[in-house]
Amino acid sequence: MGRYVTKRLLSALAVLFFVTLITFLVLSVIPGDQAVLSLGLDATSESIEALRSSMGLDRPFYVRYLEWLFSAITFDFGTSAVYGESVTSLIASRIPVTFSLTLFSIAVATVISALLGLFAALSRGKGADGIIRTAVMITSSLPSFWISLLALIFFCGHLGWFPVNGYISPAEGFAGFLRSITLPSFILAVGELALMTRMFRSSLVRSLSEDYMMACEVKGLSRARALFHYAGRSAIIAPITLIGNQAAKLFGGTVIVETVFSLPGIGRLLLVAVEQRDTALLQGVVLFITFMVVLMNLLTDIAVAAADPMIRLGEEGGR
Amino acid sequence: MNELLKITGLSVRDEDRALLREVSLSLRENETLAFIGESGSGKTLTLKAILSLLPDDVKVTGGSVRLAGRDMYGLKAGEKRRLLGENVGFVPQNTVNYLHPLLRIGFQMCDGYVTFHGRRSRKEAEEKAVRLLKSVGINDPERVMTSYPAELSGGMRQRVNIAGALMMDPPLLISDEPTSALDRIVQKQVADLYLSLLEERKLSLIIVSHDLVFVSRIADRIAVFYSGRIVESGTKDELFTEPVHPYTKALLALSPSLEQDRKEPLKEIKGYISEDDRKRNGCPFASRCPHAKEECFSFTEEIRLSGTHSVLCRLGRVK
Repeated sequence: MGRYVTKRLLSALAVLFFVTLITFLVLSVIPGDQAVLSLGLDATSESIEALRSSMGLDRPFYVRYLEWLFSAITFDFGTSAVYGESVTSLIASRIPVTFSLTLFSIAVATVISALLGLFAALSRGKGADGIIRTAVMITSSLPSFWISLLALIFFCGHLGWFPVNGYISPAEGFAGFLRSITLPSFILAVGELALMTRMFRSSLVRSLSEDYMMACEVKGLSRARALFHYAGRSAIIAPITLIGNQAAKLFGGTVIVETVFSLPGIGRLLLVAVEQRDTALLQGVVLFITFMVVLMNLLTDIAVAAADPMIRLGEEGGR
Repeated sequence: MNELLKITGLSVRDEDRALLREVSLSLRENETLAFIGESGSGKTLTLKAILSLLPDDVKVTGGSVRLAGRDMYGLKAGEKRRLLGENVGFVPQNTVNYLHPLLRIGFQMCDGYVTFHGRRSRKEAEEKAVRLLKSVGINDPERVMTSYPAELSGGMRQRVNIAGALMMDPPLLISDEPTSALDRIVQKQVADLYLSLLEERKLSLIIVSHDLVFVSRIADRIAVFYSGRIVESGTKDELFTEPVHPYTKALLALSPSLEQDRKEPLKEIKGYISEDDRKRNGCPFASRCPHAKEECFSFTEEIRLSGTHSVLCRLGRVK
């Protein structure tokens, strides 16, 4: 396992390198840069050129990239031109929001989709199965900004259960923190439901038809034991992978929900960085997102290996 | 002697056709009954009907199955599982997924025992499992107990299945072609294992097999299946020495022997079971039968030749 993890981390480094290179390349190819944006469209080309050379933007692409890369190796990701703060501290300040949103919404989506998937699988081909499948399909097809607005009007406006916007950190008050992230987390969870419910359902349906379920009947095991210890044991593996992938996606920020609820998360930081052509900030955010994706994939693979002894056996056999 | 199992006039069908018609048989204590007949003749389906584990789209339309004096189809699900768990051991045809691939052998073998004897019996169950594994010819039972099914060969898995079926010391063992998925040498070993089990234990056995040599060694009585009906049944001697039904005769003549000339083609029964054969009220074998007369296509009856021997053919009358 140790060698496996090391190998994965090394390949992750290569991924991180290429992703930052590509981001840098794209940013230098598309028209408009920091100098143009800070002086406005009316500025003379001389003044723009002057600012450009003072910011070092007139140097060739590869020089700037290598410069960035060498400081990044020492964990110095530069200073954001827009905020005037270090990129590291900017990202660090956004992490709590994004992490709590992601973890909450994945937890909610997992519990709900597991229950729905279980129920649908047990009533396969009957009415409840169809209703569940259609319902999650419809709710997941609705655009999240629209659901967010409806939820805002209903839960925050009419019922007044949650604050309309803003984020309260756990340090400021745990109850307030929960109230500020509950609604956005549920809305993100709704978006995940269709895929996850279908995954839970189909993997359960498959394991329910396996011969070992017949063995459970003949052995006289209770229905609950057969379901959770036998069918569930196989059916959990495919959803683990999916949950890991979805979590990785959410760690990368959730621009729309963060915007609607005015939550200072990674997503909005990314948006600002792109809009303002803030190279250092964008590089930092992209690096962070890529790192989270790589990390989640690794954790997912470890979780799957833990759940599936056949993978562990294969690893041992392969060495 | 007591009747352990009694099936009376059992008829089973799926949406479009009859799968079993008027199947009646009984099994006493310490008796071995073999089902023979070509694939698709209803042997396995009869086993599943005994266990009340028919697929969802297959329905029992008539008749009854009484196991240990109780009507299988009149029981609540919980009572049925209890009856099965305590009275029946089942050995499947295919060994691949009858054991759960992700659970250790020991856990699966002990599960039923613990269900019936309470949580504290786990240790007792493990000791018993080790003893049984040893008795089915596994030399290192402790290692097998902690193994996963994929770490064992097909022959080993089948031995584990047999040992697992004996965990509750059931009076009835049901085996669906227990040797067919194994290679020749292991087939012989498993067949010998069955013979020694029957000698050592008080055990009734229902066994499906295509191996007529094995059947002739193990069976007390034989039922010949054709197209969802029992066309002839009787003691082993009655069937092997004086078969009456043309299908039984043809089937017994098929068995290839080592002395057979290589150039001589393998024998076969010409034709196949058509849909008409299944629907017909007359003899299902009539369209392939060399002795068929006009009346065979519209009418057939069961004729008792002795207390134990009966046949579904007009040829029984002339005798």
